[in-house]
Amino acid sequence: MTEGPQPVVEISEGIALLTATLYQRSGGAKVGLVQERFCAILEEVAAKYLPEGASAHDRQELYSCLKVEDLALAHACAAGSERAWEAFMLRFREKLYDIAGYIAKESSAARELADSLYADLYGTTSRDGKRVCKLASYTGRGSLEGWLRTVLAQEYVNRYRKQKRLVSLDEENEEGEQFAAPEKEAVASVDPRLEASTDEALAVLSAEDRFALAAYYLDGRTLAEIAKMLGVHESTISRKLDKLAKSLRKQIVAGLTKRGMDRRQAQEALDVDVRDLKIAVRTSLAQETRVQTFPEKKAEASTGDGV
Amino acid sequence: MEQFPKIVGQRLQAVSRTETHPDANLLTAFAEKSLLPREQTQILEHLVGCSACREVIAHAQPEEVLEHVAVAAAPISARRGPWFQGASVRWVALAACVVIVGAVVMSRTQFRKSPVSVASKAEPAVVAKTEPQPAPSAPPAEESNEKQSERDFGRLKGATSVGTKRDADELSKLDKQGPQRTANGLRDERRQTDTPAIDLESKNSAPAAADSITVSSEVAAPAVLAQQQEDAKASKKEFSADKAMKAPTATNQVVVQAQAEAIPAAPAAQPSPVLAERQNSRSESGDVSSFYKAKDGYMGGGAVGNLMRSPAPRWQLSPEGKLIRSSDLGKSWQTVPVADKVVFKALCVTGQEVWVGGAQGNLFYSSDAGQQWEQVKPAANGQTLTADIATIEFKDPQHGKLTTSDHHAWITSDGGHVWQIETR
Repeated sequence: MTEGPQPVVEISEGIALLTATLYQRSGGAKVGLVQERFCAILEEVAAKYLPEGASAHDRQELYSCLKVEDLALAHACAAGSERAWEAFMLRFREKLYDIAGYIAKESSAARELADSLYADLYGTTSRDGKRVCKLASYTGRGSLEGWLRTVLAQEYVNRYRKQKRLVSLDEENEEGEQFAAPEKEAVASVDPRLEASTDEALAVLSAEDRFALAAYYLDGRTLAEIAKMLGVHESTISRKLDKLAKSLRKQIVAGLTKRGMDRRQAQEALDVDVRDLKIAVRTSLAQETRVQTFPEKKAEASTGDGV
Repeated sequence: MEQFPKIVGQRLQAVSRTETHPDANLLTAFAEKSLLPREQTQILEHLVGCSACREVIAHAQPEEVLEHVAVAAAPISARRGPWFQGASVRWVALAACVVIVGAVVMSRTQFRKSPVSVASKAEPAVVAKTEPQPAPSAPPAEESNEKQSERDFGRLKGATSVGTKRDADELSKLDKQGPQRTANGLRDERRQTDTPAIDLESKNSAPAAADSITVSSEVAAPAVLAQQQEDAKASKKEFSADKAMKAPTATNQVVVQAQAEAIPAAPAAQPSPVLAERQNSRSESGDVSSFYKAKDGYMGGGAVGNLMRSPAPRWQLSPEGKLIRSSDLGKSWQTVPVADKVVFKALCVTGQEVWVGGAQGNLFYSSDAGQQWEQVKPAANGQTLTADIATIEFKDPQHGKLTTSDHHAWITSDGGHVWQIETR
């Protein structure tokens, strides 16, 4: 059964009604955010996440999943409302430090991280003579607490990577790596047929499967961490990875045989590759991302594996 | 874990993205599993090739999710508490065996003395339902003749052994049928399998005994699956009503007389529920854990089993302010009935404990993952919480904090019994 297009007036009325309901639910009035401004924020959010010419249904779907209460609070703060800031501080002041502590795993680093975010949230920097408040970029897609957590995590990762790049020679000497030979990149000699077969095998996997593979084998994440990220049980990830590794191997061999190798050659190509480069990626990535700067984190990650 | 071909790692790295990264909002929504389906795939695609964003996501995971997964991952014995540890289970099993053996011995002794009265003791609850029938003038079952009793005992023993065999048959049936069985299904089977006992009693011209034998197995019905108690009760009522219609009035009188002796004979009736529970536990999953689940509705009538079998439920507040729950990783959401007219604004889940609060100080708490709810009315210094609840935070089941729309914080350190107001 097909339905005819809905009249434009009816759609816009529906959206207007939804917007009004959302404004009421957001408690924007309590924190000094007027309805017109709230509607404008919703428009901005829609413009950011919806493709041009998106249907009213898409818009309704998007609006319905917004955390409007947090959205109103964040934008009221960005607009400089005292009441909003009071509410924000009451809810998030301590929590922000807790989150920073959870991410940085070290008190001074955590405090520094949280303080820098506070500065950004207050808007101590200005652009074109206008105060830039980071809260204005919050769009309500996730909770405000989650957003603060993500922003802190981004800041942490940025600093961490920067810090890694700026590691001093003294520190390297202390770690006894001053004479360490650089690891050879053993990529050049890979048979192009092997690459093609691997790409083919990877291409048929779902994004979630490839994400799990990358997180486990490239980032060295624990099963528990991956399970947490994907919202499934740890044992599911364990089974998934095991199954994926087996099936990938099978498919790559099949791809190689299709490209002219016999089965034995294909197995050898794969095995030689494994033997030469065995999990060097994992070790090298672990060195790159998990230096001893944050030993507590590393310790926890290894215990969190649960296997 | 299967050894991983290095080439796969290389090729995964080779697809690293140069495009712009998703903003913090989208990453947050991904971490909280609140992305729209099409966005979910896009973000995952990006994450596959972007180690920086993967790292951000890993750091941005809310702590309580980890706790939740940890609860699900913990050994079942650890979640049951000390009472359900292995040693306790063995002792309870032993005690159950002793009760069963004791009950069988007692019932044999009672049968020797007076088969009719013992048989009628098995289900006093049924008696109450048959009482409205007019009382008879001559109870026919007062057969105190020793030989007759012996003969009766022999027959009843036969019936008991039939019952035992029947139980065994049922157990095997249950095992075969698996957990899909319903209480009604069990009831129907019992009606069929009870037929030999009734025949036996009709030959013996002691309908009361027939009833009681039948009922004694029927007693088990209410014990079937803790979460199906209502069905079982319904079946019992229905069955009793049937008997009230069919049973001869003389029989009813005998049963009424026997009612006075019902209390001492109570142990004789106990084995049936225990047996039924054991049957249920075997029929459900074949392990001891489901026995406890069925027995006392532990963790909301099977929440443990569900937690083990299915992914941890997700909780959210809908745009309309209703509490919703998903047990399939967010694919579908069901409204959880808590309070119809309350618009909820804050939610806190720590393991099985769920706190949800909303307008006008409405605060509800569930200790069994939403199976049962109780309203909590925080009060301190003669003041009751009436303001809208904006946030709820519980670091553990005891220590929690609410913030309200009028900028007050209410704190509890005993799981919500006593509250204090913290004003800033």
